[in-house]
Amino acid sequence: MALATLATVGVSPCPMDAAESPSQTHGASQEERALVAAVLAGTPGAFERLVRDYQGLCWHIVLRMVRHPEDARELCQEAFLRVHRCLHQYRFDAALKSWIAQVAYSVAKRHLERKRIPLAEAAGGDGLSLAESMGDGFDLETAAADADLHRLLHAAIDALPPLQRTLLTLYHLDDVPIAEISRITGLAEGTIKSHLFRSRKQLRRMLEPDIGVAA
Amino acid sequence: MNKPRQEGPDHDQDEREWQAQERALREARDGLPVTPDDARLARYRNIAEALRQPPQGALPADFASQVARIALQGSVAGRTAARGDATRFEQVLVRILSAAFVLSALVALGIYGGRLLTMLQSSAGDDGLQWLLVLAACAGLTWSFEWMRRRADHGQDGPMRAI
Repeated sequence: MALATLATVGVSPCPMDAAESPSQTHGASQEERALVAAVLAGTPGAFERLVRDYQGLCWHIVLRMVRHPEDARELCQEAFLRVHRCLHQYRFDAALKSWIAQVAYSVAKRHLERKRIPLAEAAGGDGLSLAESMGDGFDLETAAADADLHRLLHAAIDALPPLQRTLLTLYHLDDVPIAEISRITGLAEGTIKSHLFRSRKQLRRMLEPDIGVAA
Repeated sequence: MNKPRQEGPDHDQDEREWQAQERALREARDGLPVTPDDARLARYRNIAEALRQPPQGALPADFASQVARIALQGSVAGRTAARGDATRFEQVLVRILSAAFVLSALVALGIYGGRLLTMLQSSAGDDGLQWLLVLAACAGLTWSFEWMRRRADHGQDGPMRAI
């Protein structure tokens, strides 16, 4: 399948840059404004509440990107400390959720770059089959015999490149619209749709009886 | 929501595939029953169900309070600043020592260079001396590339750390 735009675009380190982009969707709600104002005013418990409200989203993004829980915990902490340091730059023209997600994505992306782990698979072609990517630790036949479809699918999702895993998680698990994902990742909406389409098709093909394991 | 591909003979097929993916997502989100007579849709439904499950593991129960405590005390910022000062001091020290080393080497080369060259020539011969020079050039090039790579890496760190 030919892909028009698979090149990954660098992400701005500061969410403010992206918040001013023309593809913005929703601004901050009154509740978010009140919470941000409370944090900036140093109200006791306000920042803790902010962390509690968004730590699930941050965890999903960072863990899907880096995969290692220990690293993910440290990176989540780093992300929230950055949020705390930069909250005064938040201009309320994006949902707070998107702004925080963008910081989390940026922190995790930088971590992968430092470790020289590719963010996405190379452009063109479907690359390695998911069955190959899952490595020796997973036995497809055993999974089929056990009808352990969910285990198989989770292993296949884990075997996807970090960017694809994260896009699927944001879209399916966190119900983030494509426009918001675009803001978070700095990728064009068309590129995101392309990644979603290709990743899901790859997973579906793995379930085909003649290629992978029958559903 | 339409699939963004506009050209090519597979466009219709891709569009149908995309619609099936999106329908499976919506049905999984709404908890609707699986459509048994559409194998492709059923597979996408399995995928959508798997994707809606949170990844394993979680942040510690007291994560929010821990982070809030660190942020409010500013201890991490303080430690980072202190680390930054120490690193800067070390860098200055290393530069001074490196400069002193290079200067000493140049002085020594000026004083003893001729004698050293004669000694090497007499012990290794003309060919041997050439090979030694080639070896030294290789080592120098390797060191230079490594130094440039480190500099490039260091340069990339700057803007990403801005936030």
